[in-house]
Amino acid sequence: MTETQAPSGVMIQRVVKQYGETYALKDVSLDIPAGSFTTLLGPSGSGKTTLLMSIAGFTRPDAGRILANGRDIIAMPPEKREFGMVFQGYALFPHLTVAGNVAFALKLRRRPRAEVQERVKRALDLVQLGHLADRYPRQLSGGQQQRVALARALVFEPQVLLLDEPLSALDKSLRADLQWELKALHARLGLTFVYVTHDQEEALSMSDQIAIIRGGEVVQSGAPSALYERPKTHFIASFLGRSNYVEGRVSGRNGTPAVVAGPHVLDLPPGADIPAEGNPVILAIRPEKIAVTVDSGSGPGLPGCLTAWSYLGASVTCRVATDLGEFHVQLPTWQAAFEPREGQALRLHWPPDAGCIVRDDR
Amino acid sequence: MDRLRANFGFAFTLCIAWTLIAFLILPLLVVIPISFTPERYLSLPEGEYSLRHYETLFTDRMWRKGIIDSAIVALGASSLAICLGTICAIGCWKLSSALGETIRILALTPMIVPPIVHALGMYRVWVDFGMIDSYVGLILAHTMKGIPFVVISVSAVLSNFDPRLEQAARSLGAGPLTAMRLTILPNIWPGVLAGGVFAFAISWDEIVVALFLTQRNVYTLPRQIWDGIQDNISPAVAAIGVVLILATIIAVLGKMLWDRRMAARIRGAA
Amino acid sequence: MSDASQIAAAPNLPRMDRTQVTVWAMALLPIAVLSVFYFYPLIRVLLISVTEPTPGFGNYIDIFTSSPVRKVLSTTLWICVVSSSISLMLGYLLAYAIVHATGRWQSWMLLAVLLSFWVSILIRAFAWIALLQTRGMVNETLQAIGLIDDPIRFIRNPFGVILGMVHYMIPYAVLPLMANMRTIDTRYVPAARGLGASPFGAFWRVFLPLSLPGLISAGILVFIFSIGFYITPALLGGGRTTMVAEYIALQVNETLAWGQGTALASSMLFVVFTLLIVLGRIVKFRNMFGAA
Repeated sequence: MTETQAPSGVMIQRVVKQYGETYALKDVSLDIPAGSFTTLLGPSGSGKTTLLMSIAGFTRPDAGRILANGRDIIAMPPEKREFGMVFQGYALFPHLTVAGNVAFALKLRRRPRAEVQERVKRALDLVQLGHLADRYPRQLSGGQQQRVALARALVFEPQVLLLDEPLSALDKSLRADLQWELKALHARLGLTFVYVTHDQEEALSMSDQIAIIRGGEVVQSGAPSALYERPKTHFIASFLGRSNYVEGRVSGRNGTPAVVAGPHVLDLPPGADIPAEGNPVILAIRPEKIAVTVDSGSGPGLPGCLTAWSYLGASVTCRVATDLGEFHVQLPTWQAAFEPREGQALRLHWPPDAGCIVRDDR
Repeated sequence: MDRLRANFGFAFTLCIAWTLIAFLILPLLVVIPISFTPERYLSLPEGEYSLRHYETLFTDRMWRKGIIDSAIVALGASSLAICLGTICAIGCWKLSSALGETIRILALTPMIVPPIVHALGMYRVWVDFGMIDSYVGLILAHTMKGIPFVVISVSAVLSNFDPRLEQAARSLGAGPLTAMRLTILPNIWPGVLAGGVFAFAISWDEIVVALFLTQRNVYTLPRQIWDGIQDNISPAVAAIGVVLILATIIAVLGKMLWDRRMAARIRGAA
Repeated sequence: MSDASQIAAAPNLPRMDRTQVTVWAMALLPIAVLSVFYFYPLIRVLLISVTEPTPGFGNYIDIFTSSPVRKVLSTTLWICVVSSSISLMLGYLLAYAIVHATGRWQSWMLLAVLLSFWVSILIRAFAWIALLQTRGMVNETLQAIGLIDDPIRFIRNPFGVILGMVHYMIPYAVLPLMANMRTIDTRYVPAARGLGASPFGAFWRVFLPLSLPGLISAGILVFIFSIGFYITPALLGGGRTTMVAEYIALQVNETLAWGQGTALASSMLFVVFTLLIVLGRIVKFRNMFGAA
């Protein structure tokens, strides 16, 4: 544990993987900065696991480069890459004890016995499992198994830790605890984490960088807030959280471009990349960015009618029927300026920069 | 189930089933009294019992040779079959499914081809190879017959094996072969063992190929029994029959107890 | 973002890495050994059948025109059909009983079947001879209690052969049938009963159709198996009821007619593989063997 190297990042350049006629990865490029917590997020079958397996060395891309420490590792077998990996379902060796599992990598490296014991102990202490060293994996709970898998992947001090849906088998509250722990561990060890998940909340809460993957392509990557606030496509806007969509055409009202949708003319966000006049455009608006006033017959805002609402503790979600389709509106409970009632006439308001133009990729 | 068990129809079925089991087992038991006859010919002992036929098994030169030769051949053949069958099963399991399946089916042919057919072919080829009536020759022939059983039982265990265990070993620094040795082997050995026992039993019992490939130099137990039945129906065959049936009972009971223990272990873990 | 020409221009990697080479070597090494010591002998059988004594298909014409061969073939066919049908029916019944029996009884029944499965074919034949020959235990007992005057001929005839074959093949039918029946959801029959079916009606309309694929595949397996019987007909048929495997051995060993023997063996191989292909259409091999 003496040698402290700077963690290595991973550069993925134009990686392609084809299975028969279908592309699992089509021309994927992604920069995973050293020391970052990068999440590959996508629905099942999107290619995110294929990408992780390509980084790990278990899947061999047909073309492209994967660089670590400036070296192309694409032809390197997995055992030479020195990446730690936490597998989906953990893949703990059932015939070895917890200590045996953790010692595995060190024994392969023929470290002296005393050093192995010392490092196994430290790795288990790191995940607070020192007292279970002599148990077999089948005698542990899911959360404990998950920690063993972490200790096993970290014990040989890899520079990059790959995690394949490590929390997907756990129940919700445990998952939340472990998310905090993983985040703390990342901060403490300063390694590069590459994390695969299909759970958007998990991705948002833990990552420095999220790469959204769909159909074998990285659709957008960036900081969680950037992705949430400025989704590039319809898919991202609906996959990360919820959105309301207004479909219309660009018009040049008084020199400032706007969206004409049905009888309404809506402002476009300032500074957005706006298509030419007359082109179709989709505006995405997050439910929590919409404010609601009780309709007084006339005035600004989009008129609608409350069709249903549900109380969620911290917030109230309302469904509002408008002539632009149904809107979902999320209001903080402590701010709710009105008592929701079915059939109530409402007006919806949002500032121009709450909207976001998204590409149609449905 | 309760309703089924309670009804008359199933009781009737059970009666027939037990009759069938009696039909399967009882005729075999006839070897027990015969084996204790004091006479040289096939008969039931009448008041007088003798162990002379059991003695024959150990003192008679040919019976002893039969047992020893069978042991040599069966051990050799099952060891070879274990190696080849296990390698083949793992290889097929790791290949893409369709190809692996094809290769596996190829490896299963010796199980399905009528013995007389391969016995003929092996005889001619073994003459060319100079392997007629040699231990190597019969061991190789029996290895071929044993491979399918190892492939089947190892494949069955592998179908429950999580391939990620091997990947985990690779990611921790093991090369391809080391990873297999350290993860697959420790987890599939029950299947390997079962396949090996199967292959051993197949070789131990095998007679058709042995009739074609061996003469006097290699003389396995089934050949000795075959001669014992054909020549003069010797009661020594009954004695070896008792021994073999006892061995079978022990093996089958042992296997059942073993399965129960394994099941309990898995249940205990859950 | 990506078009085909750009992808093609990206550097292509060698198609196989060391791991894949290892895997291929593992799968193919045993096949290579089998090719030399198993498939080559089988090919030799086919070759001999068209080259000895003279090149051509003379042997095949001979075997299908010679009357002793035709007699052997028809004997083989009817004995195989009868013995495998009986084995299949009895095996189905036994498998049904075992699958539906309660825990302890189930274990004992299974134990008995496995025991019978593992007992040497020679010891079985010996036991039947000891019981059924003219001076065997059954005849002597029947004579002693005065039921018959002259001994009944139980063996050295088709009856003895069929009896021996059925006795041997029942476990071979029971085991795959059981594996198949265990895959049938145990709630179907009670569901049918709940809908008003009688016990037999539930069996006939629900359980039997569900177990039909297993029944057919076990039937084909047992039939394939029966075609190759050599030891049982040789010992219990006593030279009077000759089946094709024994006839081949006689041709080769006694009259040295390798051409005819191998032509018969090749035909056997052809029949077996045809049946296997039919079987492959009904069930996936993986399921069949995975259950074993």
